[in-house]
Amino acid sequence: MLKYSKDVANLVLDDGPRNPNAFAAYDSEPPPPPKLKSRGVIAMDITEQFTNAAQQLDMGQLIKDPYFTLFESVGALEIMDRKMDSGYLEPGETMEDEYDFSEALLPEEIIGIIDHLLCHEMAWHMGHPLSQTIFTSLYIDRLLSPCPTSLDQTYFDKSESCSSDEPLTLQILRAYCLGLVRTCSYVNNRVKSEHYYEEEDFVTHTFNRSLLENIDHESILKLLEETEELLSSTQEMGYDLKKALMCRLRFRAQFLKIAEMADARTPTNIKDLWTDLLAALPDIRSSTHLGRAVPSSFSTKIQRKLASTVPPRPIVEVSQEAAFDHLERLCRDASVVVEVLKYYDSHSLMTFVILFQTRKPQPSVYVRTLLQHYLFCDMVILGTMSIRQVLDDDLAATVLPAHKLLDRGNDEIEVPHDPRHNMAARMEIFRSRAAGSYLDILRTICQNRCRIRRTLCHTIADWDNLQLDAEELDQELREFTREEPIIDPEISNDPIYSFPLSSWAYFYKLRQMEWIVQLGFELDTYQPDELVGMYWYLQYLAKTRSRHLERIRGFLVRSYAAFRRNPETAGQKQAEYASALSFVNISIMESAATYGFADALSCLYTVLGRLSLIPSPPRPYSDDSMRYEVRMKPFSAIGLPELIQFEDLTQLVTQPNESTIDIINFAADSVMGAKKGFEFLSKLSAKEANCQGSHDSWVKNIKDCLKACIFTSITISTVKKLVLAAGKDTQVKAKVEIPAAEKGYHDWWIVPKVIPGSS
Amino acid sequence: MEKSQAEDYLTSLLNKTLRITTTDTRMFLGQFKCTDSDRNIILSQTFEYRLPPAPIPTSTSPSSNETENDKETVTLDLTSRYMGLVVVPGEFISRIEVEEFESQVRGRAVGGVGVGGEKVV
Repeated sequence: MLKYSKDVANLVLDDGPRNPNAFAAYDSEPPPPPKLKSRGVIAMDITEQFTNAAQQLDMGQLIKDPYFTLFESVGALEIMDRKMDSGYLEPGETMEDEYDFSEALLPEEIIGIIDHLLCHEMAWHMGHPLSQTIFTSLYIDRLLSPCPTSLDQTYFDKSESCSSDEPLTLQILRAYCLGLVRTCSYVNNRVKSEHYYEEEDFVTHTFNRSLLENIDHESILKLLEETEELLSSTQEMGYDLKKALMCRLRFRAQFLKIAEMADARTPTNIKDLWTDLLAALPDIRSSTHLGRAVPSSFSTKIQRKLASTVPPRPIVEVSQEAAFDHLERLCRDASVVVEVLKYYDSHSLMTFVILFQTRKPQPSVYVRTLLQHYLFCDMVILGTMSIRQVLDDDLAATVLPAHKLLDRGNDEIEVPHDPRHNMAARMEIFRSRAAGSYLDILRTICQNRCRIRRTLCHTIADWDNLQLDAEELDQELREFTREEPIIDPEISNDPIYSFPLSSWAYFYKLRQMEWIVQLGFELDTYQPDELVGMYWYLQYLAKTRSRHLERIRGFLVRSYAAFRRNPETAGQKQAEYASALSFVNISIMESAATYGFADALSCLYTVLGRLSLIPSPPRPYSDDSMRYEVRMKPFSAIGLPELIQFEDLTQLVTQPNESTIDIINFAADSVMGAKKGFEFLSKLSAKEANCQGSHDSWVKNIKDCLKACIFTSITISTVKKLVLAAGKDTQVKAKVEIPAAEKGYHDWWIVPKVIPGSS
Repeated sequence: MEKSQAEDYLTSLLNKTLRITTTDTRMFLGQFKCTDSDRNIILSQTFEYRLPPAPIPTSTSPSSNETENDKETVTLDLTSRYMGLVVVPGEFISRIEVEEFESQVRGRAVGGVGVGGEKVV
């Protein structure tokens, strides 16, 4: 187990370091400030000597530390430049905002500030730094600086004896702010401890301020509750205002509670809590009009006091509409993500994670890091399972059902000659090699969409190596498993072995290669004239996977037959065979639908290309083969399936020997086949489709594919009519619109719209 | 001062801790990395120190225009802020100080060379 932990702890998802220096505009941890006066150190005035010496230098001559590069100096902040120097004061400007914290505010103003803070909080969740959002509030600044050690030090009015006569409105605001900052601290810690991209996804930098970590969680919660009680008994406020403030305080207490509890992976009522929080939002939303903004309580000047290596930046304003939408989605996503904790089988787990991440818009960083936490925390998968358990489950459910290689009893055998001992030892080698790569897939899918694709481009090389390593182990293991090869002179003169471990690795490598192409469609990576080639490539990969799955199925069926003949083993392990066979069968079906659809689209684009309906942008600095080389770079190092050479691909795609009408007819047949496939898949139960826990999303996904499929068949028949009408003439009157990825029925299927008659 | 002497002197200061006071009375403390003929100075690992807005609450120390010692007493109360790598344009520099170990300065005084000696040239 330890070995895994180490392996997995060293997982590198990216090619670069986690916080590449070039982007470290926010130094995470500034060094402690030097003491201005310390024993034995004196400061000597050298103004005159320095100035004289500098004047001797030639124009443009530099005296510099040889290790200091001009490249670095580009990042230096220019002092006294208002755009760069956050500490620069305009003539007559003061450092501090003159804001009277002792002044009691109207309830309307409290609502205004609270709602404004909520917008800032969501802006932070969306990826803006605290310095441009929550930290621009003078009230928050007052709470955090100097850093309080108890609730008594958190009064806005710092003059003495204010605690006893704090106006109710200020107490409401204070309690709310305390709850807000503490909630942010939980969120920040969660995000920081998982894999995310600083500044790209989220900014965890707190500018050397503590987010009230040393104030007891319970005492803040208590203050929120007491304030709510106090408010409910007051007579001084109108009913609507009172109600609006009450629901805000309650919301804050709820959010704080959830943020603290959300980390728990044991069964809790956390799902209900998220749903309750979601239910609390309409009340707040409908009472925002009661608020009165207090713009003077927010200021960019606070950035002057924050440890920051970046120039001053403006306050980020997110509309209330956008903020509430984001928060609602966050609650909804978070209430769904908890369901991952219910484990059914390894394939369902992966389906869950994939489908959860394809939710639109993608779940926010906090929810995604919660998902990572649920999955991987402490190397205990979902809080209950060892990595080995999940990996063995997956091997059993794909290539090795009820197989002796996965028998835990093998671990107990210590006799070195015993085949069981040898099997256990080699499986252990395999697991230590594969566990990291396998979990990497899950971890990768938890990243933002662009990063998923980018990371997959790197990890497929790792899977290629894994496949080779596994092949060696497969060969060694044969000696101990006494595997009987298939001898079939019709296929090959050599005996055919099952290669279970490398088959498994190959399967996942192919899936990831398909995802790379599919995410390319989703992310609008390809130009319109590249779609024909990329859909051809997708069908090539999917077809390869389908054939590979058929090979796996062949061996499964054969060993199942042997298994059933043996009365000792038959019975309880039957289910393992059933689920592996079901998974392989359904996967074959799914890959067939994928390659059928991709083939149809590729052919459709070929025909549209022949009709000169696909625009190709001007590219003065490249040619097709160079571009192809760059485009296919992630695949060029992969041994199997081999990368198709550009000349071959051009032949395969343009199909010069086929007539246009033949190609369009083939596309029509192909898309019909795919349509039947998707229809079949859409009717499967959660268990059959290996999507337990996410069946609804699964069905929706398949139905979206189906819609795209139907739309494609309509386009194909439109084009067919055009081709028939045009006869030998290659010019047709029609216009083609290629929708952006998110505009279609499914992000992975870019279906052109053909409008006849216009040109 | 000869040009080569000037270059040697400035080079000898590289990577020492400088305190640069700007015309707006802020002080920047950081490691000296680079300068040019316009006296633009690049400091790394820089902290910004700022005089608190007058009047200083709860402080009994006199105003900062008095003796050197008093001024430092006030400075200690300042909040500092990390800014990292900065370039201070020469035109805004009102004062440059270098931090030295007392022992080193004393040693130099005995040998008869050093900062004081160059002043004569």
